[in-house]
Amino acid sequence: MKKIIFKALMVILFASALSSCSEKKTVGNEFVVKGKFSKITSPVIVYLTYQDDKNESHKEEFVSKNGEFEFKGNAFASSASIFFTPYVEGYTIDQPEYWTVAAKEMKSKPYFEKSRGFFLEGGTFEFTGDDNLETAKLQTDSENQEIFTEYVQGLEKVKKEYVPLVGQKAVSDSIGIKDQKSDKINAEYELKRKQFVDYAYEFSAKYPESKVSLIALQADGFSYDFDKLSVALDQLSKDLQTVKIASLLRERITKENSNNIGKEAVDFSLEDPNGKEISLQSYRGKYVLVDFWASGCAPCRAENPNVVKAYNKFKSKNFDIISISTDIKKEPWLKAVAEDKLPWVNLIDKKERSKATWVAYGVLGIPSNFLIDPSGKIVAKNLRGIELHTKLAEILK
Amino acid sequence: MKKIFLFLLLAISANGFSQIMNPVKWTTAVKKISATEYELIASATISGNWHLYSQNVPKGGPSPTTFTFESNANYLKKGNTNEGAGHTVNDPVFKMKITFFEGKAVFKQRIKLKKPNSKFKVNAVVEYMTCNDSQCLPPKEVDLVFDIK
Repeated sequence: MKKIIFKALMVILFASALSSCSEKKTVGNEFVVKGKFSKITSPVIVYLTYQDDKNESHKEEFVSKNGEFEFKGNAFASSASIFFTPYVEGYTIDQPEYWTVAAKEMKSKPYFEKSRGFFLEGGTFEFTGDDNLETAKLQTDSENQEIFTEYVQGLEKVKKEYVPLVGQKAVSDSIGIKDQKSDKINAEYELKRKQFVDYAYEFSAKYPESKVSLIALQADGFSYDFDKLSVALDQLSKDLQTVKIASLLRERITKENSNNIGKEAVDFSLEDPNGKEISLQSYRGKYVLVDFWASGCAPCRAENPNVVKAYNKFKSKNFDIISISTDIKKEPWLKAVAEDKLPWVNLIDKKERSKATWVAYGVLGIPSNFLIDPSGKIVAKNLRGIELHTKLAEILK
Repeated sequence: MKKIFLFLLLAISANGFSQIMNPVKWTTAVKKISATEYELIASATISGNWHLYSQNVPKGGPSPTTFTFESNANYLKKGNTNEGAGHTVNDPVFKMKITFFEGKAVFKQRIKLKKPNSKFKVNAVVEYMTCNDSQCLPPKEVDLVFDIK
């Protein structure tokens, strides 16, 4: 599902434009990207990376003997990047042999260290300069370049503040002690995370008519705030709302909302180690934590002792756990269940991807869990570390 | 070497934020060694701080990357699938030495052709799992095609 959402973006010819037919260009996604670099005189491979109008990723190559290059393609709204690597006769960059030759060349010429990011859409883009991509002049009829630069710089700023805290929080969670220090880290993490997540929504509110907002909203799939994403999509200009990426983001919101706190948890029936099918339905009347994990997932295995601790603490309070493994093979799953001594019901989710339970629950990464109340409603999500204990203590009074 | 990969990675990741959802991209290539011997090359481009694991992870560890080559009448596999050096660390969770790849990983499989200079396709499946420090994406299978011509 998520793959489809994030891969399959495109511009459908706007239905409205088709019917009213004229003023709006329906086919305007062709681009030409040209370059002329006067001081690059030895052969180089020029790369252009971008997402096309169907949101497929491209990495195009152009062998340039004289510092000039030209790419043609289709794009509706993509962040793109150009960079150079040495040209090595007979080898491509996928081959290790290439790098033995290229490494020397790259050391001696600083222009191989540079890359140039820009916003790509239909139109012409002409880069001219000496040998430095970063300082090259860009001539284009695309009006989104400045807005894009503003977006990238703003994103870098919030990201730089947020990323180090992810690591600090992970370390603090794994120690599992709640004290002044861990409170401080958690508070700061929450603040910076919010700034990072909200940046896209603030940006798109400022530029509701720019295609750059589509890039911002699509950004980091793991950290959507779905309510804000929904508002942000509604605020986009009409033209952008009909674009495929917008409708796919809406589908994603629908899926998330159907697995949100307060919603009825999707029922499932999966095999236990003996091949017996066990359903969520059979747990009605109990609080149950549905926990998604896999044997080969280190963060899951690191979290398991904490889940066992919580189980022992709360099992007498009408509370149970179902672990659902996304393992493809049965053997490593059984071994991990035994090693981690998981005393509750263990199920394996080996249905094909489109029918998998983790997909139905909108799980993007594991570990991931859902706390379900006796009536079958979701009451909490993604409880990890100390939060699991705090939430259970609060609910299972 | 690492610096170069990093630079490439940066250049690529500037492009696709959506790659965060799909952090490993596979591409295939074929290298001719002789009229009867070819090398199948599968390269993974790994974005951000995600890891792809080696094929040789001790039992009970993280999910190794595994290749399954569909056999056909045109070729025979020659030896095992080779991989690059990667990073080896003492993993505190699994309590074992684990090798993983960051940025880029290259896997190579030599094959012997039954008929010199014949043209055919080799289908393969790679099964793998991607993780960063705080989460993993569920195990995944991707179809690969190698075009011998």
